[in-house]
Amino acid sequence: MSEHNSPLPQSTEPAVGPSQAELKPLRRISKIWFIPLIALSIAVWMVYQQWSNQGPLITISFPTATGLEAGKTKIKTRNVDVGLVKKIELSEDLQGVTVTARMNASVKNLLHKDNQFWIVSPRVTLNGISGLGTLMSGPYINMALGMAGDTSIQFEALEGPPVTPAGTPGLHITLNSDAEFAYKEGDAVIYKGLKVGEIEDTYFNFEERVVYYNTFINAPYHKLITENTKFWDTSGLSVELNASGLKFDTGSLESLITNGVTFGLPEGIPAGEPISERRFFDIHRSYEQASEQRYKLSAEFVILVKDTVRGLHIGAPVEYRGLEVGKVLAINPPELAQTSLIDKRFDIPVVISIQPGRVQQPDNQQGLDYIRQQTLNWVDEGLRASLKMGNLLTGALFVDLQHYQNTEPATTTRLANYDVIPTVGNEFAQITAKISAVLDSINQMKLKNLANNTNKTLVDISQTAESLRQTSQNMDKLLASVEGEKINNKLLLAIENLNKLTQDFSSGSDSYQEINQALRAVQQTLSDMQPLLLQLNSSPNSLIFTDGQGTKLSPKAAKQGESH
Amino acid sequence: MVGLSACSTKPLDVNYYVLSPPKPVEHIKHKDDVRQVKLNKIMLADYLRQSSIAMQVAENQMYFSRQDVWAESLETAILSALLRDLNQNTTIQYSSYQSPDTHTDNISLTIHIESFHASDKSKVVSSGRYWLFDPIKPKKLEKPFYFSLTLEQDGYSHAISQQRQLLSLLAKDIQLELDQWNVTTSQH
Repeated sequence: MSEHNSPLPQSTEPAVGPSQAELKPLRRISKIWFIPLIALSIAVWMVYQQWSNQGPLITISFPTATGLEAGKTKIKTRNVDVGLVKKIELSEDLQGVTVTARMNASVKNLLHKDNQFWIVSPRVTLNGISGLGTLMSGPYINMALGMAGDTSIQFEALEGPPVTPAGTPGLHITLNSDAEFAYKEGDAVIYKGLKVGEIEDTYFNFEERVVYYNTFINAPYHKLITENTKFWDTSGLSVELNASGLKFDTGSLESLITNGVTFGLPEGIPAGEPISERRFFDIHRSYEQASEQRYKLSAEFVILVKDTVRGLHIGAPVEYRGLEVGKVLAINPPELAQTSLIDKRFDIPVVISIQPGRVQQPDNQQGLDYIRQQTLNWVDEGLRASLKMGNLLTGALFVDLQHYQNTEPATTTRLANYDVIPTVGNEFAQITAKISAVLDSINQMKLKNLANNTNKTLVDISQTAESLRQTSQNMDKLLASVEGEKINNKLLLAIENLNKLTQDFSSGSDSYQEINQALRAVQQTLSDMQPLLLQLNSSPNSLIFTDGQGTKLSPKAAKQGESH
Repeated sequence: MVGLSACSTKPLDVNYYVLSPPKPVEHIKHKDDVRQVKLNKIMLADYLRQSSIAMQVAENQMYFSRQDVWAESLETAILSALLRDLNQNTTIQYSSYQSPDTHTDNISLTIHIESFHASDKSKVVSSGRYWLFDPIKPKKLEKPFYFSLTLEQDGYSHAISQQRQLLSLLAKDIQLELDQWNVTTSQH
């Protein structure tokens, strides 16, 4: 046993005996090792596959991370999952949140530079309620695809959903206004009651002190926007009190509670060329103000008002014989001040304009020159300006241009490059002057004599009234007596008739006797019937079965010797 | 037919009587200044205001004949009979209250008859009261009367004749009384 258990002999002599095992050299790598290799290969392939299929990692900057959760919040486009939030961290400047998200590889080429991201969560605005579906599923990040050619992996998110999604057909314009009314994002642009667009965002230019509103007009209404289109405010309820009565105006119901802008072409203005790219438009206060903008050129003059300008406003109409030919441009502008305001004879300069287009002249330089010259000629012929009351309720004034007869000749003067139209006293001053004249006339009358005469006349009238009263009383008495006599006569007649009647029926009269006789006959008949009735009562058949004689008694003669 | 005739009633045999049988009219001419007396309506006791002729059969029992009736109203008949008897005297003119000659200043005669019937004692009686009133004096006389006559024949006809005589007696009594009253008033 020990031999068999002994190690193999170390000699190199060939073995003698039965066949010996042929020794072959061992292989270096076992085939079993292919299995892990294959597994590794598969794993590598899978990792590669995973790596090669995953999209880019993008970062989106949000003001806050309300509702976002790493590993759970999805990024969607048109409700299709295109990414997942991987990490949420504060930005380096601590002013926002940086969200890192892994996008699908399929949207790699869709990460345009102008893609818009925003958090979709339940939202209630004046324009409606949105995002109710996220109440159950939780917020998600929506991605709106942009149109830019370049791609990016860093984006700035919006605070809310964009008013107009990128790619919406329509027209972007910019409105501006220096008025007090203000609009906010989402406010409607209305055309004939239809909501055709929205204000997307606002921008305040500090230098110009003007608010700019980027506005989007939906297709196909954007075709209505032409170079001559005018925009005006239609917010809330517009109340206008004029000579025709009270007038209420409003846009849509939405604009009644929010703000709104409408647009259109003022009457008489050609549409002009359509707009194809962003343009700037002014927002006017009203349609009337917008309409005034249809005339571009105007000849400017100055009138020097000696009376008050209270009630006169910039924009007030300038009328020539009742027709509006221009408007007031400025009241007491500093550059026209001749003397100090506290100077006693300070005339208030008012700049007015006369627009050639309003007086059937071409709206060009030629028409402007003609109007300017014609106005000066008319001044020589007696054209004067005055302030008149346009509205008794508000006391608003307007500038009235009229030809006056017998006016003092005026020389044409200029004031700071403006031609001056001479003025006459305003309406109130004219009325005051007329009243003064009337009062003077009244003062000149001999009122004392007039009063005496009036007193005398009143005394006469009083006496006449007294005599008339007496006459009336007498007439009353006369009428009463006439009436009394008439009544007396009637009464007498009635009494006579009554007497006749009573005589007819009085005791001893024929009627009385006849009636008495008739009654007596009736009474007698009734008495006669009494025995019969008694008999019938006692024996009803006695009328038929008796001879009606009954017991008969009759007077008997006295026997002899009984007579007296 | 026999049955019907047996059931038929025998017609009642009724006798009608007048108080004053018609007589030739004697025109009595009065003087112009004769005194006038107005005879007022006769007032009858209620039991006499019927057409049946009454007869007293006991002290307080009256009998009214069904077959013997007055042909006219008794008060009218009495008025007529009295006027006829009274106007036999030409010194005073009596007239009916219905006469157009009556004047308000005439002496008025008012008679109330309480009984005017026959009795089973073979008598006819008439009693009552009369008044004379002179509006001019003025003066008034009231007097009761009672007259009776014995019946000499049976039957109502004789009894009525006797009743007529009772009225004549009454007329004489009135005339006598009025004459005395006139004398008295004249003396007075």
